Amino acid sequence: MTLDLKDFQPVLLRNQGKPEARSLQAYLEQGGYQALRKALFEMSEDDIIQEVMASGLRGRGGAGFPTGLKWSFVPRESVRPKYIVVNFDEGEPGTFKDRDIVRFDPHLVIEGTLIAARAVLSEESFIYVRAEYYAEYQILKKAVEEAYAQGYLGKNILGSHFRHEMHVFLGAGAYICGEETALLESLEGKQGQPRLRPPYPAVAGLYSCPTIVNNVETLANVPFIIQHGSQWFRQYGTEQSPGTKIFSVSGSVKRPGNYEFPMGSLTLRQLLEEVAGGPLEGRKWIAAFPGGLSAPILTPDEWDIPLDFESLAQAKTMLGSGAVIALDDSMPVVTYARRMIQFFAHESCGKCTPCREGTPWLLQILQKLERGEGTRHDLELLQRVTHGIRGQTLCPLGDSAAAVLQSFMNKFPEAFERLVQPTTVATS
Amino acid sequence: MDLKDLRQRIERVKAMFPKAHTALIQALHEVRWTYGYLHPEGIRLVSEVLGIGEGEIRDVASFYQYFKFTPLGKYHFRICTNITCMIHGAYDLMAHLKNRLGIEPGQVTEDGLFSYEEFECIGCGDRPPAILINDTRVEGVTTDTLDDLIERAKKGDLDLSTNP
Ligand SMILES: Cc1cc2nc3c(=O)[nH]c(=O)nc-3n(C[C@H](O)[C@H](O)[C@H](O)COP(=O)(O)O)c2cc1C
Ligand code: SF4
Ligand code: FES
Repeated sequence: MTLDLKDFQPVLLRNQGKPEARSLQAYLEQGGYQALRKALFEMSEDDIIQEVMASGLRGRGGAGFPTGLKWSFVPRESVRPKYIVVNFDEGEPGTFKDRDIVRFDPHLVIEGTLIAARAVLSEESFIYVRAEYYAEYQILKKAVEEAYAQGYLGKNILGSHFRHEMHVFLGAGAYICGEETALLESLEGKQGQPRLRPPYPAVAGLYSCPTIVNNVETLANVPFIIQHGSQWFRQYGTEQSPGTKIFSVSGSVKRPGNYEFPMGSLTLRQLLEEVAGGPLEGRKWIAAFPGGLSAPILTPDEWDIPLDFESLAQAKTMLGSGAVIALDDSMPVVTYARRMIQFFAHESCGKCTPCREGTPWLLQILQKLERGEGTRHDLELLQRVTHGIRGQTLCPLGDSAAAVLQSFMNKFPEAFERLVQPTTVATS
Repeated sequence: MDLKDLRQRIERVKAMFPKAHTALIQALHEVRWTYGYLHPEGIRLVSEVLGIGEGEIRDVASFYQYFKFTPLGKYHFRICTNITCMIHGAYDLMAHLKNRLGIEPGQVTEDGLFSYEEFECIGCGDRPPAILINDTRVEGVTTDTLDDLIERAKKGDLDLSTNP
């Protein structure tokens, strides 16, 4: 595959680097809120859901669930209020894509949310912003105010019978609150612990009412799909992963940043070498996380893999949030593994035992190995504890921690072996 | 502290959300922005205005990294040491703060000005290493940057309102 994307113009990042584009006025000049107009006056609820289904849009928050299908699960005939929740928690380490969508195109997110609301007959929505994004929280609040002032939010939107209230909510520093049911708990003023499923949020979510939770990037695609049609959307990407995707590239690269490409149009190697400019000066790559810290690592010999949902799933890892983090030889493998586990141990919500007890235990063992005090027994323990966590957790956090650690141990067995003291033979 | 002003802000937050419980975390941010941490007086006000028990408030708040029950420095540094920032020297920043301020993470300098903590990814992998001072991000940080920030904070001319 040669990289020939010269004619490709970014869709979601069309305004990247242009803070002046974030005003409502600038948005309207770019054709903004035309899709909402179409959704209000030319389409039925079913038309909207059908169009999003036909586009094949899949959730950009990590799981890749078909968006139109999710919307179709909402019981529209229910008399209970229905809610849209925009997931702007963006806590997956290495991810900073939603940040730039909001920073340069906040009205795109508001319009996408309004179209989702119109499709499922929702009159109220919440945007959940991570506390670390205080600056973007301010940008969103301002954009929402503008939208109210100009009649894009509130009663009789654009003169129709459609009404909608939108709230911007600031989280308080907890990665797990990106998990949709934990997020709902947090919105209800509780500790952010995931809920047991079923019921799924589409049926019983916020205040036990039907709720759609979608990622920022997912919703940012919606105005384009409604305005230009599902076929337009499908000109980008693959059959099963249509559309474009923003990749946040960081770690050991010369040109870190957000890069938008059609799904599957380039490989991990092309992204890291050609787009991001190769490893930091004088360093050598050893591996990369292809989809955030929760995605098992791939070593450079595995990098000729197209970046789309199905190719990465086949390689037993995942596209996740699209955060690519490149690791180099400037640090020991076990230090990377330790820092990864430290994150999960810190962010475990404590609701289920294997994750609550297992992740700090893994951290202790890895710290011991890092200090050069590990034994063969510790290596066996690492294996045993990860097996004890896999498949035994309530939410994917604990499982990811174990899966990613296993990928380190499988791909760099000698790096771990080297650290353990040779078995001392008892001398009498 | 101007309690009347804080009460008004909590009441405004309450009016912005459909349920008192949904306003809770936002109200606690108001307390944090007023005192720098969850001062008991602020918790009591939130409890009064929202009609939620203080015990419940403390229990919920204890879950979240941004809510602390003991004072922080007037300038609180959150140092991201997650993988990208670690590759770009974040642990040197931690060591530098320890030396320069003479305190461990979680402690406060005697003059009440500074504190710091190790933090997870703050979404700035494109300009590492990155930190937050209170709610303001600073990117591409070096030990020199830290010295400069500390000096300016001491002189009282550190502007923390800069947006991207
Ligand atoms: C531990 C954990 C953390 C998550 N963090 C986020 C996040 O920060 N942002 C996000 O959009 N989705 C996150 N998700 C995925 C959400 O649970 C949910 O699938 C997503 O918001 C649905 O939106 P989408 O279908 O548009 O992707 C996380 C999931 C898990 C298990
Ligand atoms: S796996 Fe971990 S984060 Fe998820 S519910 Fe269990 S304890 Fe909480
Ligand atoms: S790793 Fe430091 S900001 Fe993300």
